[in-house]
Amino acid sequence: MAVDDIKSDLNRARILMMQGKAGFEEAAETGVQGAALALHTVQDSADDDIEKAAAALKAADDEVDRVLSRVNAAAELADAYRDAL
Amino acid sequence: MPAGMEQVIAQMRRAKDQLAEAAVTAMRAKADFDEAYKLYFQLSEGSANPNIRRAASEAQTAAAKAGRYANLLDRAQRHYQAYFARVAPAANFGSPSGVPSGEKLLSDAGRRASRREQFLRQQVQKADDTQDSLSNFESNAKTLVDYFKKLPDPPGATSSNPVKVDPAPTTERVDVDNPITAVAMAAGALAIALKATITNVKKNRERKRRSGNES
Repeated sequence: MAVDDIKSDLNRARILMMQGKAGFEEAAETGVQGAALALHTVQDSADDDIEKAAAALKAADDEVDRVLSRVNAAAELADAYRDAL
Repeated sequence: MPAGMEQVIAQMRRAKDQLAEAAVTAMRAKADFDEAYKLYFQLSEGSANPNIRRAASEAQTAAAKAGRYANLLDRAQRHYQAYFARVAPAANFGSPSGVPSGEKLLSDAGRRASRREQFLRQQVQKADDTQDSLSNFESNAKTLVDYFKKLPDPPGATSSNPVKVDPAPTTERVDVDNPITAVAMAAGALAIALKATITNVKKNRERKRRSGNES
């Protein structure tokens, strides 16, 4: 594969990663608002569904930082690969 | 349906819409990560450089975790739906349109009478169980209003505060012989006991700022 073709693919991948990152940040922003509203509106520690819903929202919130750090890591590694070409 | 419960349902519909929108947006991001992963993986096939292989692996994990995020939001929604189907079946919380049709309301009218009685008992029980729900109802409601003033307005939101609880007459009469029971119902239905999830919003702002500096 020619270096120019590789660079072209890397650029496409980078655009996809940044587009995905911006989209995911938007999702996380909307998600945290919905979660805060839901958690404040209904609280019932004795109810199984409410507890499971709250646990799912917490677990979702935990994933946000993980997604973003993976995206950043992928982009940096791809950059390092391109620099070595 | 008591006014308090109508308020709860209205807020939860808004929350449900936001969670659904977030899940869809996250899945679109996942599709982008998946496409990027395919490109990284193809490039790694013809390279001895470990970085591109690791980039592929990171992108793949990012896609999987974005999908997991969306699934968790969906799961939370399903549990809320199951909850409201139990405690307020007449509210049709799970209906796709969000607003039950007139025909649906009519067909529900018969069942509702007995369910209303059951619902009332449940809510009064809950209010009794929540130590401060009655005595702190008013102050808690004010705190809730204060909290939502801090939240940014959602797109299309009107200027009126959506959380303000007006003592407006309900269209549906609930037969309660004791006024304190009505208050207990509202308090129990709202189940107001504010916790520090505000920090979630703050955390998100900080994260957004951080990631904004990076990219």
